[in-house]
Amino acid sequence: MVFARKGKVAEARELGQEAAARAETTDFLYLLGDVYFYVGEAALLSNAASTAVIAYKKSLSFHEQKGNVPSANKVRSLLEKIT
Amino acid sequence: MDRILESAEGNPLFVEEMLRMMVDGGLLVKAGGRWVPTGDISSLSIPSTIHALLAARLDHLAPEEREALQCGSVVGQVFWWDFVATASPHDNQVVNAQALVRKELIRPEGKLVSGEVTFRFSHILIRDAAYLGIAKAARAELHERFAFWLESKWGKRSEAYEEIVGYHLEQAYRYRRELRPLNDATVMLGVRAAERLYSSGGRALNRSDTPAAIDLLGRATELLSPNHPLYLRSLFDLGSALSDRGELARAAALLEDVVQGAIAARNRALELKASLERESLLLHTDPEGRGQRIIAISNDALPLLEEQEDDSGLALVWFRIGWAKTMWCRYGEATEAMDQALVHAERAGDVRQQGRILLRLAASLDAGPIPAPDVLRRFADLLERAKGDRVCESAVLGEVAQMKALCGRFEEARQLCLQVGGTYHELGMQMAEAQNRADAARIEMLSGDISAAERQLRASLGGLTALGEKTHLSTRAAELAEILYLQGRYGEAEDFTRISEEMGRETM
Repeated sequence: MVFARKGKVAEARELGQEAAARAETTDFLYLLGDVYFYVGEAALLSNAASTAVIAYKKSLSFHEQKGNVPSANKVRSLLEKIT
Repeated sequence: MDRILESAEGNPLFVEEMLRMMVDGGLLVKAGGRWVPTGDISSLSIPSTIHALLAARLDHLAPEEREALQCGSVVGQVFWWDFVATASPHDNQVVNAQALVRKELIRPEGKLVSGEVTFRFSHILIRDAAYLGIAKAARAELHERFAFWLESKWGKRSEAYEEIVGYHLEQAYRYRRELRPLNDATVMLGVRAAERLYSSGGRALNRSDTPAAIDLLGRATELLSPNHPLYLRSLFDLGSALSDRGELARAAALLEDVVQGAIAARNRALELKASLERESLLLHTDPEGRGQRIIAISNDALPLLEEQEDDSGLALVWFRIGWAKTMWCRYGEATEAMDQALVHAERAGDVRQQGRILLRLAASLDAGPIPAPDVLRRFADLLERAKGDRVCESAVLGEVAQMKALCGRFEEARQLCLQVGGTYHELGMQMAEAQNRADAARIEMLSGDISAAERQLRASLGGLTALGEKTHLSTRAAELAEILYLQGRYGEAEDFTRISEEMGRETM
């Protein structure tokens, strides 16, 4: 995300995908939800809105599975803004 | 009087004791409602210190009075007169007690629950002076006799006095060792003391009184020869207790001694259990490859311990497997391993293990795939099982706080987290306290108070660094990077991502 904010969008998205791949080896739903949230944010910063929506939806799904109300609400409101 | 005041140097006890000694010696009598000297006291010898004065006062007592005080002094500031009567070589104990009370050396303390008559030394320095007046050989004899008296007096209730009995046998052993070369009787005395201290240390571990456990188990090992079967068990438990207190390097060194001792004694089960505990400890300070080694040792240990029907050992191994799984964030598998561990710990009646298994089980449930409302329901059961174990109860409550935050109940979550941190602080559990601050940070992150989250997380990082703990540092550093990022402090955030990456590489 730091890379994305510094304009290194490609590196940011690559790192995001790597983080997601690593997180997918776990069943840590809180982490998975957060990782996909940032993957979505990196995509949004690089104007890839459709990719961002997919990532945000995944994030929402993980947070909802865990019953993580505040994080799910945060992602849901972002999704509402961009769709 | 001026000379007395000068020697007293402002210590009222000195003046009191000096006057009492003069009364005891007939140099001062009461006449017409006031104290008057019976002769010329200008050349009276005045001891230079309070200790010398008290020793002189005791020297002037009748032998049976002095010996009665000495017997009492072996017990402590409060003592049972019945023991004095049993141990004293003189048979006129009733007179003695009254005489000693009149001389204000002791005062009646009343009756304890036991119904025995007890007395208290008027001042702890009088007790000390009496104790120092006993020859070492007699001290050893009296300590041993008191231990015997206590055990025979209280029979089945002696478990409550076991630590005290252990202490007196230990003192007897130490004085004997100072006086003559070690012989079989003295070795046996040391073993009797160690057995009681070990047993008391085990109870201290079960009630999470880690400082007491370390003290008791450390003393037990010092009394035993390395060849004695209790020695390695005691050292193993001491290693666990030190690890609980965060003394990781010392604990790892002790556990290595247990591994070597178990190899020499061809005790494969103990060797594997100690290796497992040692590897688990080193996971904190030198994490590389430890997780895999823990699983490998566990796989070797499981069939052996199953064959030996060692439920306590099986609980330990399943616990460590679960722990390794949590290191890799496989919380579903960790939960299953912890559930297995709990079954064996309950079967073994191993209260301490049940406690720490519940603690980790709660953490696995918190992070794992089960939804927060279901986890909260499961926590109600865990809290019921944890009742009476403050550490375990606190750990589960800490996880309850996290689940409540996930459910959006922030104020309840904050209060619980604060309560848990207070308990850890009170119990001296520095590592748990540092982790508790990270839990508080997560609650604040969820609530959206990012600067509060930063404060808590920096406190957690500081605590972990001071303890030399590395396992959780990469996660904490990553969490801090996220917090800094959310505040737009991208440069600082990048620094912490690098730290996290570096620490994480070591852990995998």
